[in-house]
Amino acid sequence: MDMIRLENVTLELGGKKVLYNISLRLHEGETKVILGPSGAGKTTILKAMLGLLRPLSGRVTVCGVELTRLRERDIIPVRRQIGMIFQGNALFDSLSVAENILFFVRENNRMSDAEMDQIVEDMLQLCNLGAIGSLMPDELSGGMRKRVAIARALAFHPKIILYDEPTTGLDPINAKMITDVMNKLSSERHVGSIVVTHILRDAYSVADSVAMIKEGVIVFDGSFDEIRSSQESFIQEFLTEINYSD
Amino acid sequence: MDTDVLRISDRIKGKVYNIQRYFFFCADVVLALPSAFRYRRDTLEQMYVNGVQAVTITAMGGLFIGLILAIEVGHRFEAFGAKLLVGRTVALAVVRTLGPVITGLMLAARNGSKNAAELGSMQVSEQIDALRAFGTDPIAKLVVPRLISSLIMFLPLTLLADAIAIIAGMWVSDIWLHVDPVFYWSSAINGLRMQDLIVGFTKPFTYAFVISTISCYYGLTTTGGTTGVGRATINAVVMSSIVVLFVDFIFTKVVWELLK
Repeated sequence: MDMIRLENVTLELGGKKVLYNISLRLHEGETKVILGPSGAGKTTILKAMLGLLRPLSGRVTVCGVELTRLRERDIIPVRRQIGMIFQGNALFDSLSVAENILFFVRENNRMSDAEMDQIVEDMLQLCNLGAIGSLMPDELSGGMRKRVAIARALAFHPKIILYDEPTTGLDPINAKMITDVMNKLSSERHVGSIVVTHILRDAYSVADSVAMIKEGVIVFDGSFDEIRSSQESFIQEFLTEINYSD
Repeated sequence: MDTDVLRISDRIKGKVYNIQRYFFFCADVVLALPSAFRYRRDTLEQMYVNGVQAVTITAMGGLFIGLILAIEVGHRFEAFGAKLLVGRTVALAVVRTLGPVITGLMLAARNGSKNAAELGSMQVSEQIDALRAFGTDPIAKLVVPRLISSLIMFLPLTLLADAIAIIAGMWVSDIWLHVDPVFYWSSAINGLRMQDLIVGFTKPFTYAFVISTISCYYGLTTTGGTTGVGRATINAVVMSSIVVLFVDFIFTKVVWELLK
């Protein structure tokens, strides 16, 4: 079964079309990378998958539920199966790391203090973070904040994780730490993932399949080998530029 | 010329659209009210921040209204030999209008700016999107506790401001106008009728609703980074203040006519 399916999705933001007839699929346990330049509509695709943005036409189906015609409150149970890592992390800056990790667990479950402590410990360990539960987000480095955001998204065991530019702005060592965590989640927990990025090195290290978007249009969807052999001039130029800049 | 007309027309359409969105937002808030029990801890926290911590500014407002009103009215009345009416006049003005309005304006500035800035910062840093993405309704989690806390706390704050203003007026009357405090007090109490109390004590609930919803609406619709947060905060305070004054006018005219 497809975990996520976008069929002919067209989406408008502020009266301007940003996605044109997008069709994409994510299979169970698959990691799909969406490559594309800034402003191409990558983040918009993720927000459409969460039902945060409504398409003008087309259908968005997540775990067998079509979101397009659901009311906001009916989408909520579907969203609880998805973890999202925002580009800017979107950690709650007035809460500690532990409170951030537990925020959505507390929202939906009743647990003892011991159980919650255990979740924090497990998530920090999974994301290769030490005992930083009592620290505030602004006391952490960029890489640590990103991993806390991943830990928060994992705390309620989602079936799918959406990563929005997970390694942008990080040094190569921190970026590798993040991709290691992503691979660990994929292999150990069989979580399906969609990774939006413009960094080919990271895409290559996590992807099972890759799609490329240009000005709101999917110009490629296939494997890495296929994209490398593509004769499309934009794809060639993009891959060369990325390789050069990285 | 045509482009000017089009621009003005677009601006008007934009304003009307905004008002329409605000009313839809209010409907969502009302529909989310049952979540108040679920988020009772947040409500208690907001009651402390929006209510208990606002005691000082409200009390100061009440104090100075009472002092100024008693001095101004007292000296004018003294010229006509009517200074004994100071208690009645201060009480009436404070309970019916000045107490609720001044308190409303101060809370619009204090709590309205706080709500808009907090929610606006959360909006531009994607924290609101994060709430929605993980299946939490931001209106239920953030707006309803702020609204409920205001509905609960605005009346006691207004009563406090009223009481302090009347007592301050009594002090001024005693010291400078030599009006006996007992006479001042009985004149103040006897001068108030039930409809004055109804008008004066209904206003804080309306102000609580408009200040909370307007400031939260501007916060949640913030765009444009830190500048946008500043703009949202200004708009929230300005709009809340205007609506407080407008509601006061409506109450004074319409409700007064109804209760006549």
